[in-house]
Amino acid sequence: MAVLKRASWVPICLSWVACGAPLADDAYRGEPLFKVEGQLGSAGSTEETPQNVRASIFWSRSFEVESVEDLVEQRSTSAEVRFPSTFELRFFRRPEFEHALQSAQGVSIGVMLLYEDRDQNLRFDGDDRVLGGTISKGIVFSKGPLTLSGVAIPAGFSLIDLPFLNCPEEHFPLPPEVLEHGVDTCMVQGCPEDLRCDQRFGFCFPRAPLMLVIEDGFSLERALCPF
Amino acid sequence: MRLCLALLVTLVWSSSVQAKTYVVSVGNNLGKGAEPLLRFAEQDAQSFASVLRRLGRVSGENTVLLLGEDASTLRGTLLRTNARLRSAQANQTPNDALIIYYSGHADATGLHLGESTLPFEELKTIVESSPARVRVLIVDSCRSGGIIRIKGVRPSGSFAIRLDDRLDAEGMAIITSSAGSEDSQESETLKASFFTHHLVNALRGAADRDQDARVTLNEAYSYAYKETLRSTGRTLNIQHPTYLYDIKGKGDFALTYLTEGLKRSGKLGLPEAGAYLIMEGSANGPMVAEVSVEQEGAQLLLKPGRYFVQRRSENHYREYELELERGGSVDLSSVEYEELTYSQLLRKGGGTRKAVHTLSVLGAARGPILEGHQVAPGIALGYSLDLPWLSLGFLARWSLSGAQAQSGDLQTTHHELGLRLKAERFIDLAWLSVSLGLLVEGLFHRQLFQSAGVAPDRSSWAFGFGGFVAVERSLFSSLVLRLEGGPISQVFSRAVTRGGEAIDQKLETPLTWWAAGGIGWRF
Repeated sequence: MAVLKRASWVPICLSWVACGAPLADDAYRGEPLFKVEGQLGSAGSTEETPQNVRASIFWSRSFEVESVEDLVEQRSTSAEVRFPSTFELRFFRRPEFEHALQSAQGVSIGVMLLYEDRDQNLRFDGDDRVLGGTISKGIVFSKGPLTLSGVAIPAGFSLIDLPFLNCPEEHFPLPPEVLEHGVDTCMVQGCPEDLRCDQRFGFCFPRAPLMLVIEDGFSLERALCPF
Repeated sequence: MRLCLALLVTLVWSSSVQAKTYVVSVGNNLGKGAEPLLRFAEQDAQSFASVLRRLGRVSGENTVLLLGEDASTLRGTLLRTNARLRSAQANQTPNDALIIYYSGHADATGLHLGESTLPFEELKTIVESSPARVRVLIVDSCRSGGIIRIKGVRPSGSFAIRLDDRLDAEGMAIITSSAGSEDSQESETLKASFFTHHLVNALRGAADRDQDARVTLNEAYSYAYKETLRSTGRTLNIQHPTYLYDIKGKGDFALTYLTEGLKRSGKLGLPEAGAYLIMEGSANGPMVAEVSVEQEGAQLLLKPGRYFVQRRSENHYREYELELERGGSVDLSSVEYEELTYSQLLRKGGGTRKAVHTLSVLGAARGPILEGHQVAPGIALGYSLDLPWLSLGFLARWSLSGAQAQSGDLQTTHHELGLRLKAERFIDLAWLSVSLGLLVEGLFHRQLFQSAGVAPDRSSWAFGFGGFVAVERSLFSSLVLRLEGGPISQVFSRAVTRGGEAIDQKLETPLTWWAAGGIGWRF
């Protein structure tokens, strides 16, 4: 026992000589500028186990996009998956000029996508395949405070609920739990704390948690519209 | 310790006529009463007689060697020698020389040959009554103050002799190996008394400063004086040989003739000035000579045989092995040698240095200590102190490495400063020296990041330790080539990352390697 007590001084002594900021290896990417946590989900069965999965934020240059190719990838994000079903997104860089909305300089809107980097060139291109992404959630970066679709956005990074503007009319289900809160009311009256007001319909919708979904056939539409 | 040493020279010399030389060489290891037993007095007498026989135009019939005899035997021998000289003079050879050498105990009044005594006054009377025109009396004993009180002998200062002195045709000179109150010493290493050893080497050629192939009395004394002073200066009892003379006329008395002596010897050319140790056979053989050469082109006549020669300078030793043939000549400049440098000398116990200093500049490299990092090249400045058994040193080093983050969006530049303490033990081989060592070091790390994001610089202290193998090879002058390498480890705090973010820290002790090579300057 006495020996153990004496031995306990060893790490203390070593830690004394090894002081200061800990040294970083090649896994270090810097100090994150923005972090969000969410839930991990999957649907369907993947055809094969994907290799070289990367998580990136894809910024939109306009409010209207049709495919992933219309987005600009910024490789500055890490997605850490924690057992059993949570994840954390870290943003290590601010969006650059080429990531900003053309109609509103200093403001960037993007979505998180997971893809298989088949050619391992650390970017989405060629035969790379989208595996999943966040659902109906967007990342906004603004150099100053602004109001977007009636929602106040502070300067810096923010996580926002994407409006249902992107959902095709025929696919919009208008669920009963939404309808019971009335029509066109939230534009005037606002919504309770746990709901959000969708500008397309003026409904209060449940404020959905951040979900990162991996599923077969995941597409940009899926990321923009939850329905 | 040798009790007494003195050289009494009485000269009567005519430079125009070459005459026969008579030698009486006396050695007695025994003294009176409690006087200690000498070990090399009789050997000294043999050496002196031998060198004159080989190199000094002294024939065997004119050489008398008395070993362990008493005063009456010496007295009788000297009287008989005087009688032979008178007989020779009657045969028209009036310029004969008489050299008397004595090695043994003495006091202020006379020579101690065992329990018997030969008073200096009587000795002087015998010498003065000798019909030889040149009379040389060499007494190898201590407390030679008694000698300078001999009537008719005028003492000179210790350094009164100049090399260009000319002795008059007739006179008497005295050279003592030690002052009146000094003891004379024998050397276990030299296997002789200091003075006689150097005197014999002088006669072999080491003293031939004017390189005229003759060693004169003045040259021999001057050399023996200086070397005895130097040799005994390393001991507790320094000896000051003294030269006393009473001279009339002119002339210079040559004791040995190197050109003629070559017929019975081998000539060793000593092309460079310096101190030489000459051993018979091998490095472990008996020491034949310890000689100093002040100018280039000196030569030494030695018995034919195999020799190990060590030339000593302040910076290094050179060791030669050579064979001398009768009548042959070997110049050291044509003999291959092995050179031992400062540190090797120190480790062998040679030289006069207690320590050797080395400044070094090294190019270095350290293996990666962090995942994804590259080999870190750098430079190092070192200092080491070589002691006989161990070498200690420190090394200040800087290295630079880089790494690309796995994500590709962050570049790391990693500076490392280290102050290292090391201890190593050298083993000297034929062409190089190899060492094994241990090291500890204090380290300062600084990481700089290039990123479009936020990544503040990181500074950290660490501790290192390890072992190494080093190889050193002397180049030229005082320069040395050094290569070293080995395993090292560092104790430092490493960032634990999650998703690229540093969220914690952990103590790391990775095993890696260190290698360096460069130039050292010894002083």
